[in-house]
Amino acid sequence: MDKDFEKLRKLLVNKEIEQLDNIILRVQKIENHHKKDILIEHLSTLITEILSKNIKNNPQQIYSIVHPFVIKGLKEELTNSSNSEISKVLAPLISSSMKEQVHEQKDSIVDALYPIMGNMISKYVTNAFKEMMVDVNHKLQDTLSSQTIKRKIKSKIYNISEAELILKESNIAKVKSIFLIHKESGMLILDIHRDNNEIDEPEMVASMLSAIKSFINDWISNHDKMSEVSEIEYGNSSIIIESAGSSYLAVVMDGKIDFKMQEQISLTLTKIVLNHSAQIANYDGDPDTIEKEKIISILSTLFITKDKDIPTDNKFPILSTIILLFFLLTPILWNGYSYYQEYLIEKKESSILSIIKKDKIKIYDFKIKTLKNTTYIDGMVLTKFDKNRLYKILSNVDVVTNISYVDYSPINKYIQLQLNKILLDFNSKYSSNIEYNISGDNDIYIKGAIINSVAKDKLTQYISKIFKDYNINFDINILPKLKERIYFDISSSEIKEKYNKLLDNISRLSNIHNSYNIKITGYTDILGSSIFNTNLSSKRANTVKDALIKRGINKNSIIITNLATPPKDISDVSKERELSRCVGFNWEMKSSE
Amino acid sequence: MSKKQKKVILIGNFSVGKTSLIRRFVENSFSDEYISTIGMKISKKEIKINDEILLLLIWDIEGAVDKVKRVNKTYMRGANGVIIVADIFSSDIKDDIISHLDDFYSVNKDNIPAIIALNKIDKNRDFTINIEDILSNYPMILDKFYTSAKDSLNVEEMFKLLSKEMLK
Repeated sequence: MDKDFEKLRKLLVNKEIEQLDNIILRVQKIENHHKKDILIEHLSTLITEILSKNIKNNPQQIYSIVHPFVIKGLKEELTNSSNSEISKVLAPLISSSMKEQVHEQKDSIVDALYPIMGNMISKYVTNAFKEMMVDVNHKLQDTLSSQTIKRKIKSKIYNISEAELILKESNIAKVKSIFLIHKESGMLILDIHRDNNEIDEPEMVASMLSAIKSFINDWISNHDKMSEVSEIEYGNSSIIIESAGSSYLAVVMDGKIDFKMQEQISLTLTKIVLNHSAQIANYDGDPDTIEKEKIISILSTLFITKDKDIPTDNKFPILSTIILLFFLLTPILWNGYSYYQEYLIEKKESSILSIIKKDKIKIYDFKIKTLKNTTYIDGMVLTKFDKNRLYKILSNVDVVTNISYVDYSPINKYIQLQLNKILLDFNSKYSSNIEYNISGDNDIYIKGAIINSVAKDKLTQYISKIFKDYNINFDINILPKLKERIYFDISSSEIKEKYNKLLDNISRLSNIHNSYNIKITGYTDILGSSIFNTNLSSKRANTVKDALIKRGINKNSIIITNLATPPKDISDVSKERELSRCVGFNWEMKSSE
Repeated sequence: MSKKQKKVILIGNFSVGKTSLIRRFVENSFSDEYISTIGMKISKKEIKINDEILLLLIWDIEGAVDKVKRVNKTYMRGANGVIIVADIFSSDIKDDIISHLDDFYSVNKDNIPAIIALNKIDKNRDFTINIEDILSNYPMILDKFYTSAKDSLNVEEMFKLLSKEMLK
């Protein structure tokens, strides 16, 4: 029975049993070796296969398993450290994709940002207005100060509303702080502040300012070599930067800076540089090496001078008002006088402005100011001609004019183009050689020689008309007619002695009008063969040429030609044979190389 | 403001740990992040050297991410001292140090003292490198320090040595 069963078993599952035994043997073998790493190695290839198969066949399931871990990991990474690896990896990606989006979908970005930006701007503007209103109210409350009375009078006379004048006053520049900074290192040399309101960490401010300044200058210098940062604005304040020598001044100001103030800052720094340049240049952070008190006394003038213009916070209590009323006459007179002075100044300045305006001279960087009864104007015009014109029209006005002009001006270029064109046409039409020269910006020189006076008149009239605003100097000579000829004996090319004088004269004229060539033409009478006559006329022309060269004429200034015929003006060629055997002279324009 | 000021420059490649060294040394930074547009930040620190109070203005100049990007050398001008920071894990550590030294001395006088900081020593305490050839070629280098901002190793010492030299 057992045997039969065994037989049956072998028949049915023998192959499977063998396989199973084999597997058991292999597993035992592995277990016996106690080598886990071998097991892991065997299994790991399987796991990879299983995973990749599953990812391919059932991605959704894999995603749902992995998803929570990824999110958790990201969260931890981002919250635990501000400088995580993930941020480092993502940051450049985000910024470049933002750039791309801003570039491609500008409008939708603007739409998204508008509510936030709009709010920020309106908040800022509201605050600025609030501050201004406080200032204006302050001034209105201060109803009985001399400043107010002056303002009221000014308002009536100029027909400008009082509010406008107050607004103007609120905007007067006021120096808040001054920093003197070593240019190269950015170290603070010293700082002073209005009403001793010292700021925290002035050394840091100086260093930061220097860094920003050198960054901007470095950037600008790659683009525009002439420029340097001179002002940094923020809100209603600005930092004016004035550099000289080894230091620079940074002046923190409230309100709009004017020309007067700018000039004062520049003068102040000049004064410091003149007196203390050596100490400043060698400054290495040691305050004892600097004459601090002396420099501060120079710098303090920037506070004082400007204070004169700034209405002080005088509030007049009742008692003061009574005292003021008591002495009312004095301030009124004083105000009247100062108003009158201001009126005179403004009248004078506006008359100067109208004179300049009438003459339509464009002045760049124009500034006008009156100090101690003297009016100064500064600025720059394009040409020397404009400058002279300006000085001329202002010659009867009591004004100190300090106008410079730009060396290169487009006007000058324009004139050159015009003259080039005109003279090119003219010279080719009249075979002349007229040249021009521009000296300075308003002197034009037209020079050369021309065949006849009709052409000369035409040219001078035309140029004078076109360039009527310029100083034109004509130096045009009419070329003398070369009528005389040298006559020869029959078949001869020998020059007779009596023609020496003529040759001398021609040589002299050629030297004077050296922009022209002398053209020598040889002729013959009608007798003889044409070959003989061609040779003869050539010989005659060449002999004359040699004679002229001997007299000092450059051979390049002589052109020779010859005909085997008499000159064209011989009316009867058969009778006037003596007059036919000759050489004639003409002027010819030199060809421009 | 009657104390002496000195300008100290820290230069080194991108992410060698300049900012961490300064953060360890200074309690007062102007801004902890680089002003990214202009590539630098300034910190200050008052230290006492031989009964004298010295104000150090420390200019931390952002290292170039790649060698093509130019570091603004004008920031280095007028410095009283310089610390060249190098990462001990950098492959071209010596070349890096030399190129920064050359950058610095191209805009400053030859006698300005310098210090080499070999940073991140906490990550490999056994690390040593022989840079005697650099030290002998640049006599203004006071010393080299193995530093760690994390463990506060040699940071204070390094700034103190430089400060003493700058006051001489």
